[in-house]
Amino acid sequence: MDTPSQDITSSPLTVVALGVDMFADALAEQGVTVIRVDWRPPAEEAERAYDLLPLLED
Amino acid sequence: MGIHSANTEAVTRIKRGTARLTGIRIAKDVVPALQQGKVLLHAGPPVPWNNMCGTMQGAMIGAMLFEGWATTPADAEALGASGDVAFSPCHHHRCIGPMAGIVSPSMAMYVTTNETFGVDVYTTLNMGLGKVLRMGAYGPEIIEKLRWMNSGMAEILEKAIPACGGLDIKQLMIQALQMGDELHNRNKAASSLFLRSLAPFIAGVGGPDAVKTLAHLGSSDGMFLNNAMAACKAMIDPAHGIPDCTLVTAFSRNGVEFGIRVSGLGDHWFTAPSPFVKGVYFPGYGPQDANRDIGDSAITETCGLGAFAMAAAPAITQLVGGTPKSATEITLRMYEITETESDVFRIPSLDFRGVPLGVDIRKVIETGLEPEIDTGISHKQAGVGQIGAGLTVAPMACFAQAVEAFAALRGAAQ
Repeated sequence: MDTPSQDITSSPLTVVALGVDMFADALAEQGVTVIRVDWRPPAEEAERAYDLLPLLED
Repeated sequence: MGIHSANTEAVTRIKRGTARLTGIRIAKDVVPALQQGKVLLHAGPPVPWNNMCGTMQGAMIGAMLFEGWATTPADAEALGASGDVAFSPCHHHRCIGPMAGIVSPSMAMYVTTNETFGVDVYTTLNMGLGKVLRMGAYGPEIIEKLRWMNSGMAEILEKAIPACGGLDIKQLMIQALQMGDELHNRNKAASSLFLRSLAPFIAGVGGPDAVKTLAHLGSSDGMFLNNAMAACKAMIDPAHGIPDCTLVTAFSRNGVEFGIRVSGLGDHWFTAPSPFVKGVYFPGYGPQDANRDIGDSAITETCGLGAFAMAAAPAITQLVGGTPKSATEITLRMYEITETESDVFRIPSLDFRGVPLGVDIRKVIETGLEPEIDTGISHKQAGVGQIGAGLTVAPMACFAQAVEAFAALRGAAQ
């Protein structure tokens, strides 16, 4: 079944910004509700460790 | 046990720990390894003579001259390179030391006791400012001062500390944190409280050495650092060795490598090149003069103090750079990589919130946030001394190795 398309410009927006502060700042300045998440991609030397994290859960 | 339960057990032990200064002992009487031939302890993970930085080799030379194992610096250097002296990390022997962190058999050691768990930790008497052994200085005046500190001054403290019933170092640190110290790079209040507590009992011993001891203890705002470090190790050591625990129990540097130890991963060091410290240099010095980060003093960050508590010490930014706002931001970031908050070390400007406690290797990888460390900068040449102060981080590579090791352990267990 096709999902009907939405016109995102005609309804109130809430944006979640993952680590891109400049984008979040620009949206906030235009009155858009922005939820900022302090996230950054894993460092290169930690990529393998990052993929192993699920093994370190109870 | 499971990681969650193990981590909870670890921070419970840290919080229940005490730290009382109970006396003075000679190193070889309390560290069995120092009774086996020529042995010297040092800060950081293991490092052989040929790989040691200038600061550490200089301090080793000074210790060999102090012990009488050599009569000239050239002979001491040859002895160090000969293979006839064994070198071992302080951390392996319940010892801890700032900068080069050298412990030799005849040195007097403060004994700090965690009475909850029956753990004693040993640290040397702080030499004060300027050209000192921990910065790699080994001139005749250094050796002479070492001899007095480890005889006349030690004898005074050996009488004064029991006379006052021992000193609750943990309580002193709790107070100092609320007076603007972070207990690593800023110990101004703590050093004053320490002197104030002991002074009547030192005076009670009397004599010229008592006067000289009081003057020495009052000569440096950083005098308390060794005591803060020993207290932190005494409180955190009982949390080491808990199976399944992913919390860091030591950050330490030997001037070449930065090492971490993790509670559930035994005594293995996970190491990476020790970073350079970014900060403010004293006049006449710059980054070209700096040694890589060195010392056991990051044990304070392991316990939620130092950079982790920078929000409590806005004045430190005048020494290390930044602003009171950036100091607060550092503390707030560290809550993201820690298991819990201290119940007693509290930060007034954060509505008395407890300091971030218990660095979790998983959270470091997950967030990409490296633990921050607020520390001094040593000149790369032996004996010049401190040339600045600033901020650095525990390298991500150490945590990546630790997580991989933990995953391998869990994989092997399944």
